[in-house]
Amino acid sequence: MALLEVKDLEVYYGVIRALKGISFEVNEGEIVTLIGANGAGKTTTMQSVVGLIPARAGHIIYDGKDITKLPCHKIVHLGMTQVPEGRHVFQELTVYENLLMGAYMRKDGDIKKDIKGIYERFHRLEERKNQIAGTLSGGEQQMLAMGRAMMCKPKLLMLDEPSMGLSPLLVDEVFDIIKAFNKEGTTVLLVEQNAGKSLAISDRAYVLENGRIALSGTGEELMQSEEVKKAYLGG
Amino acid sequence: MDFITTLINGLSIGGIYAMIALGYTMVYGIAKMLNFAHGDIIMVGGYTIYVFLNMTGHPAIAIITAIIFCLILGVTIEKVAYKPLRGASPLAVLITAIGVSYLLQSLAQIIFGSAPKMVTIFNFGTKNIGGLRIQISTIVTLIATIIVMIALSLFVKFTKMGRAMIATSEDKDATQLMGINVNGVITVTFAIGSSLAAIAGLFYLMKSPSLTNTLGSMPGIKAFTAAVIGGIGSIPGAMLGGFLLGIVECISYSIPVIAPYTDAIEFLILIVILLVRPTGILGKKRREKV
Ligand SMILES: Nc1ncnc2c1ncn2[C@@H]1O[C@H](COP(=O)(O)OP(=O)(O)OP(=O)(O)O)[C@@H](O)[C@H]1O
Ligand SMILES: [Mg+2]
Repeated sequence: MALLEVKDLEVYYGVIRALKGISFEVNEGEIVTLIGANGAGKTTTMQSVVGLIPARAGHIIYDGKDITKLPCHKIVHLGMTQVPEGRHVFQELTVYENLLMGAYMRKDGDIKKDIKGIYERFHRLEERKNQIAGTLSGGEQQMLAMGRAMMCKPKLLMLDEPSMGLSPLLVDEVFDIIKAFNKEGTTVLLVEQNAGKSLAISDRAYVLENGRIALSGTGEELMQSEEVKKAYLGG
Repeated sequence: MDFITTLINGLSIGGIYAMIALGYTMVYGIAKMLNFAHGDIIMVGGYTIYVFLNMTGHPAIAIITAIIFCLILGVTIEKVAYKPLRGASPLAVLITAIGVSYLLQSLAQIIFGSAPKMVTIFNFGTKNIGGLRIQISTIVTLIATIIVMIALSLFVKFTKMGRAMIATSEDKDATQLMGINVNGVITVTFAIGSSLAAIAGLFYLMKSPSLTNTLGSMPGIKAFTAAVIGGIGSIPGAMLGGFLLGIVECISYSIPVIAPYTDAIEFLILIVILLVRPTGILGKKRREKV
């Protein structure tokens, strides 16, 4: 059974129909990527799944439960969270406090230990643990946003364009980290413009065009597809 | 010497303004609305103290009851009047808040009539300290407001709920992604703001014991001014603005030529500061996010 199943999802902004009935699924343990041009509806999909934008029609099923109408914070409690587009770290809090916010709903005693784990993965964050997050560089903010999301211990981690605005070296690092998270058991739903790199690490992928799913397949299949090559892989 | 007395008085009234300003600024920061009924909570606190002081004769019981009553009232107002308007136009929310303000004032007038009530809670008298004649209640007010403010600052900085409040004021969506119920955070904010207003009501009555249904209006406006001067949304800003305004007020009152224009001077300062720094002294311009 799919961990996340989206069925005929429609989302409107006023009268604008941003998602015109899309369906896709993410199975436990997979990395699934949505690729698509600017304005295709990727962010809308992500925000709608996590309950930040209401669905007009369709269903979102998570772990066998219909979460279409649930408010965001309750969905997060079921075990999914998102690194939103543009990172959205808490600018006025320190790096350490941001990580604590990630663990807000946890009641286990491993929080300190897990923060150490995050620091081990992101050395830059440890060096800057008392720095106000608003003063971090874009790359550091991305690391923090990912670390903060991991502090929620999600079963399903959604990332919306994590490589946006990063240097090539850092982009590689971000994809490595996503792969590592996945190896450790986190299911990943990824939105990317960087189609080449994301398809390479994906089990399956969907191409979103104008609020519709235009193509789907394994990462490999899509990388070989002429349409994808032409539109998203630059040749 | 006179100047020191004036300064202490200024700090004391400033502390009261700061305490009320905190309610405005926290609610503005977190719920993104101007709660114009906030000043009237002070008045409700005053009447609650009046009623329970007459009933029980115990100031402590009266004060604690007033705090609890105002807390519940503030939270109820938020749930009934403001929460349904979340996402509505700011103007609709503002008009609602003004409506709530008139409602509270009218209810108080219907229940207690329009003649002022005299409320003497404590009789501290005055004392000579190092050649200064100072009202003990002034000192008590000053110390109490400082304690409350330190406690609030520690709460915001070092507790989970405090961090959730900062997070909510900054980014509601990201806060929800942490599994935090933003409505709960807003409720706590109203609870804190209204309790502080009740305490401000107490100190106001200690300063001038005459209680009417418009008791909260002027301090409400002054404290709002203080919050804007300090930078609306900023907790240290509200404290700074409150003390600043209180000191200006007392200095101005102590100079006979300008004393009648004190209120005008305070609002003039607001205008000047807003011209120089539109976000207030400690207000931040939200950094645009990429
Ligand atoms: N708040 C909004 N109000 C109105 N229209 C919106 C809003 N947010 C998004 N849209 C529209 O919905 C469509 C999908 O936007 P969305 O942000 O989901 O695209 P995206 O695929 O994430 O694009 P990008 O790659 O540029 O981030 C766009 O046409 C956009 O203009
Ligand atoms: Mg997007």
